[in-house]
Amino acid sequence: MYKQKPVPFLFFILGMCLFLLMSCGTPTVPCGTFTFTGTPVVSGLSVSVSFDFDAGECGETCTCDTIVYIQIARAYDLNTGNFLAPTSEYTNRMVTGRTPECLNGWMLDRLDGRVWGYYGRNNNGSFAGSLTPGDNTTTAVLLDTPSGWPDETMLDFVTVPVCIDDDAACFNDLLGYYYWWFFIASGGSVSFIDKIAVEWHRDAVDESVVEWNNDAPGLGKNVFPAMSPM
Amino acid sequence: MYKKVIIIISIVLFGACSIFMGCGKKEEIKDPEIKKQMKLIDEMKIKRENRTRELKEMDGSKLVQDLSNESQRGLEPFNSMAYKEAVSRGSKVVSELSSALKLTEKPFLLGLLALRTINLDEYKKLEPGFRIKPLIDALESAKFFNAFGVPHLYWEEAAKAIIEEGEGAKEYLVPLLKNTRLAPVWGSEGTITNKIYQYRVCDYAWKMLLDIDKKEVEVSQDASVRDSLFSEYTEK
Repeated sequence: MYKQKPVPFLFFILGMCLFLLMSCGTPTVPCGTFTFTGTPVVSGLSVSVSFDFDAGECGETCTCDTIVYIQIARAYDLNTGNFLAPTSEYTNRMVTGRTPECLNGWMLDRLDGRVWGYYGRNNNGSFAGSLTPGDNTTTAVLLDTPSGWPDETMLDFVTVPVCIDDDAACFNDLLGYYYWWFFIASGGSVSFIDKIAVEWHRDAVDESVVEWNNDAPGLGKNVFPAMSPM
Repeated sequence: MYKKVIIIISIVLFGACSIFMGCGKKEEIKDPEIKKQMKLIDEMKIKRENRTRELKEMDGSKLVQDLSNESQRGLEPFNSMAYKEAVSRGSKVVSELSSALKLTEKPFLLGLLALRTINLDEYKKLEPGFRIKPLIDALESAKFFNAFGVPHLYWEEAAKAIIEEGEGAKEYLVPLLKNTRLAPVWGSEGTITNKIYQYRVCDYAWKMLLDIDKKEVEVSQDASVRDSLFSEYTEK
């Protein structure tokens, strides 16, 4: 009896390690390779995010014929700290009231009037020129030009490739997370940074999807299916 | 002895795990770029909370003044903290708001839209021209058109307020059909769409006229095609 007590304690410690492993702010591991290019434009940034899928980098195997993107965005008015949104629908689906603070202000980045949450997807299921779907051998490309934002605004984005091939073993898997942000200084000059997202960005994506799914039925939009990181 | 060994192993394991993982915010903050951004997020939270508190503590007249100031800054209703506070006060701010609007020569957009949201009856008591003209002026002079929407996709409150004026708005909208100034929106995907359509002030006016008349017309991406349809209103 006496000798058995330390064993649960060992399990507790191992459990704590696992928790730390899961909740860390460590960089996420993409199942493939991201390529980012950003070019400052007037009060904004012209961006291309490319993703070459390689399930092996996550120790998995999967053939996915359709890889597209979801993207979340956040914008700060640096004068007031207020979160800015390009439309009232964005405001309505904004993540608020979460802890930690870094999860707040995010919104699923999707044009009003579009029923799909996937970036660039037209209502008939096709994709606009801003989104080139990929697969195991073709690069998935997202083009964005967030611009015209007010001076003294800070914006950040998380761009996430997702497999939407319902025949694939990795159907609805989120294949990686890429983070990019930029500042618009007084006068409109822009500086930007990009990198592999960390784990709290992944949580911000999850929260943004929750908010999208909350609003979608009332707006005649499609909810996202359950998705999980590969 | 066995217990001590297990405890020591556990502690060493836990420490090693934590160090190896470099966990939580400490790990994030090691990255200077993330560190800088996390600091900014905390600063923004403090600023936002201070501004929210300041607005909550304002009396009605000061709040109305802030609404006016935020209108001049070009803030949209959904990005104006003063607008949000005014709407949250509801009927408590109506008398000051409608009085302030009546006293000004040119009512400010956020004040009009706040009154319309809080109390449509009070809003309708304003003279029609007094309501419509500032909305049209805002449309005509806007630098960005987020407060109005995107013609073929959705309307925001400012555009809805014009359209709901019906026939009374037409005399103000028809002259705008000659206004070919570009009408950009700021944002992300919306800016790409706007660039494809190359919307101008006249396109906003035209689509609002169509909506007043409850006419369904597919909005062409080609501006010259849209122009050819304006004659329905200009040749009357």
